[in-house]
Amino acid sequence: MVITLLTLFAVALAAGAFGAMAGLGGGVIIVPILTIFFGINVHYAIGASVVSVIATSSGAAATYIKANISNVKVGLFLEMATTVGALTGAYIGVYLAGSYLFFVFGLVLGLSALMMWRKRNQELPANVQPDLWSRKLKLGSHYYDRVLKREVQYEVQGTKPALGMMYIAGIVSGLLGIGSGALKVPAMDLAMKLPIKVSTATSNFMIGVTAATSAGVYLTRGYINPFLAAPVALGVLLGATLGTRLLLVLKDTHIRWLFIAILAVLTVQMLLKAFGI
Amino acid sequence: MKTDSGEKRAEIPPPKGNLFSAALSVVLRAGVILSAIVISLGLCLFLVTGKSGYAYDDLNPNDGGRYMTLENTSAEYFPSTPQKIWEGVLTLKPFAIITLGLIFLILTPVVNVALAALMFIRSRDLAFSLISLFVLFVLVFSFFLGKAGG
Repeated sequence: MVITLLTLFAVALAAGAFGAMAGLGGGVIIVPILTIFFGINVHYAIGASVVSVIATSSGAAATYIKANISNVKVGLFLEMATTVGALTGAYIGVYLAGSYLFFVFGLVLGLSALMMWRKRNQELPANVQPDLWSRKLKLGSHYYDRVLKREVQYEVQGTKPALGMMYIAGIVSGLLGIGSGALKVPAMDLAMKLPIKVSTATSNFMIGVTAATSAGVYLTRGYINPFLAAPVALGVLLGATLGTRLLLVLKDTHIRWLFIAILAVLTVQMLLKAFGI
Repeated sequence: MKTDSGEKRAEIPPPKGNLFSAALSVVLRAGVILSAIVISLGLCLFLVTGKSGYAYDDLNPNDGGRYMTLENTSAEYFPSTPQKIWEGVLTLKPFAIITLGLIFLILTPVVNVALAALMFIRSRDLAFSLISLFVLFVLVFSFFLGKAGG
């Protein structure tokens, strides 16, 4: 029993550190490990993952919000789509074939990795034209970049396509018990043209809210098992704290490369799962 | 040096942060720390006593199977209703204490959105008051949807 709990804790620690650095919730790593290596029932794995995702993102989000890197307005605006998506995903999750979902998820991840790789050398987005909603809601903001050592002003565009992408991210989040930061960061990065650091930080703030929506459904259905969720949540928390410290001193390009690598690995992982290998 | 969308080549020092972001940050941190403490207490109690306080104890750790995988287990293996959780916490059942900590964790983002809503209402930002209240509504609704789904 003690060994099992320690193993779960160690796995969660690693997942949490990676999760915080890439704006991923760690769930993408937790769910496959719990199901493949521990043989745990997938519903309970998802339940534990969802809780751990809240822990990661809240710990990291607190740091980013305080440093004023997160754009809370953009986050809340997009949460309208992700929370409804998470509700949809968590509710219909039981009725859909897992293999089909993993396949679609694998494709989406692969696409995100490709798109990020294509614009990998751009530190800050240029020539962003704010759209109507962005101007009305005053979504543009600024943050202090520690690496560039200056205040960076930025505008926001593509609010409507971002909302659509976020609804899908929410569904994936609810279905698979992950934060789906892997979908949220590209949505802000590609559609809204936010600086990658702002995308990552805002994603962390959003992931907690999305995951809490899914968690509400899983909790009331009895899929959150204390024996699993306790070591996983605590491990992820500690890991996330370490990962966040590292992120603040790294250059944007490094984060992007790390993110692409993680996306590539996850793509393969998800496709293998889809075909039951 | 790449160009960016901002025209201001700022000589501004790093922002000290405003009250709004500081408050959100405090809520997130307090929620996480509180839940971590409660979960750790429950876990320590479980490790020390070796008892969860529920039917989970009747499973054999050595048969590998259901102890970990939880296949075909019913809701009796750990507390699932608010009433059972509360009774378990009062009688110091480890799994009930862990579950309470997990609920604190789930509620952290909910409180965070509620606080954001309050801030926007106070600053008379109508659009964002409505946006954050909508998000809050969906969050609260999720706790009832699970029950309805059975």
